[in-house]
Amino acid sequence: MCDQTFLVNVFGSCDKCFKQRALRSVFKKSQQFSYCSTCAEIMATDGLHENETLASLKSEAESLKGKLEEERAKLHDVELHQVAERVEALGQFVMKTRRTLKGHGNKVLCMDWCKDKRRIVSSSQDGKVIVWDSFTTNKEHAVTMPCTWVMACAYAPSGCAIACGGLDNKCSVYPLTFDKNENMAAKKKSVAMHTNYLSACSFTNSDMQILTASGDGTCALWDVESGQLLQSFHGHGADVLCLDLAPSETGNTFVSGGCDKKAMVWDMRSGQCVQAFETHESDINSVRYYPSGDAFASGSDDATCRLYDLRADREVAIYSKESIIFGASSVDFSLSGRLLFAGYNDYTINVWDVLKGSRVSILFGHENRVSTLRVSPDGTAFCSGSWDHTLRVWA
Amino acid sequence: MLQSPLVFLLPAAVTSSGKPSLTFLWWFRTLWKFQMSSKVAIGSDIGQARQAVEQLRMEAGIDRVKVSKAATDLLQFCMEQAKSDPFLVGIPAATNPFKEKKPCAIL
Repeated sequence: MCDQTFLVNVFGSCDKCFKQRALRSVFKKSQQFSYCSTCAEIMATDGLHENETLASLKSEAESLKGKLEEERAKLHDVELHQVAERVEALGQFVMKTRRTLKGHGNKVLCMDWCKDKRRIVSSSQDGKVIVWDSFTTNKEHAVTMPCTWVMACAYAPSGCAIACGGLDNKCSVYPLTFDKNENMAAKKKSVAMHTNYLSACSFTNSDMQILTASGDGTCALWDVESGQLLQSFHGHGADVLCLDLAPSETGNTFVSGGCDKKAMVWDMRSGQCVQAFETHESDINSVRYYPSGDAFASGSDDATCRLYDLRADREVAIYSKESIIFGASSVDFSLSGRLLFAGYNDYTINVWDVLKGSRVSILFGHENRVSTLRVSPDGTAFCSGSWDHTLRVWA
Repeated sequence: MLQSPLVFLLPAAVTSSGKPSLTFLWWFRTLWKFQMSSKVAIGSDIGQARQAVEQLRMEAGIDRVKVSKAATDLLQFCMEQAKSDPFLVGIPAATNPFKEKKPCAIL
């Protein structure tokens, strides 16, 4: 989709030698410095031990990776579905489309539920962001963004604002007002600035902070009021496509998935990557935490969804079938975590039994690939958005 | 040395009329960029490799739990929450706002 990255050349005085040069930004323990190229080179070789060369560091990295795999394998004594054998199998599910939300002029790319379990915000390729009432299918608000491909949208926890962004490389927050005379676009606040497209955004527990993920390979935490960057997260080797915050009881972490096939868990306070998982064979399109916060699921272009346990530090289940060859674009859990809903690029939605690893149900209805899927906050229904310009609420 | 092949193609620094040669300037600039780019690449490679090694060291040191224990905990959470999961338990059509209500007949 977006594979052009432009390098921005900034001229100014170097932080170290104070000469006027072309600057490169260097990150040391999450703090950003601007050094000229000569000082950057000196910094990189600083404190290098006598025998440390590129080759020796690379071989040490390889041996550490091997050791990590060994440690993980030692604890792999049983499979999740074996432990789940004693659990009752699920009965037949009857899930139908209860509401179809029509109104977007082009592919629906992202959607989010409001905490009131009723309102939905959705964004599409034509630049429109619409707030719907899912009970009545009425449109409550509509905003036209100045860019196309609005790939990310989120509802604020208070229900009073929405955030969205895409090819404009920014995340903008719009306060929602019921005043008919007020133009929503006039109150827009630009919060995040990235150097490539915005792929995902999410409010943290309050309206005051937003977490964003971008095609420039970084995630960032921003303060909404001032637009200031609070923390940045570097580590992905390619575009970051998705992120999810841990459920509030378990603390300040979030997981992100990217085109480098890695899913990384980050500590929001320090900016450090705590754990990384690399078992997928292709881009990870969607990640979602298990309701208890101890595990997360990911959906990828390799046509599988996988469950990773954070305490065991490994993948514990794969949800795949030989007949499924199209990538999974979005995943979400039901309230208890027993069901995993996954939307695929072959226009279907598969429902998986998380514990047993088997498919429970397959839902047809969309006429083009399913791009986004979220379960409502009270778990009574889930909504899917698709490239066929519609959203469907299933219950 | 990397730049030795190019030395043989050295253009004249000054043209016959005495003005500085543009070809020479272009050659010099290309050479300079070529030298600089390879140096910078090595510098950042080492920096990246060191960061990767430190990250891996940190990851190797975290506490891990056996899969059997982690799986049992996931199972337990699931079973406890299953009673309150509308998809598993099912809510009567009357209270589910998305399901159709039975039509009421006006007597």
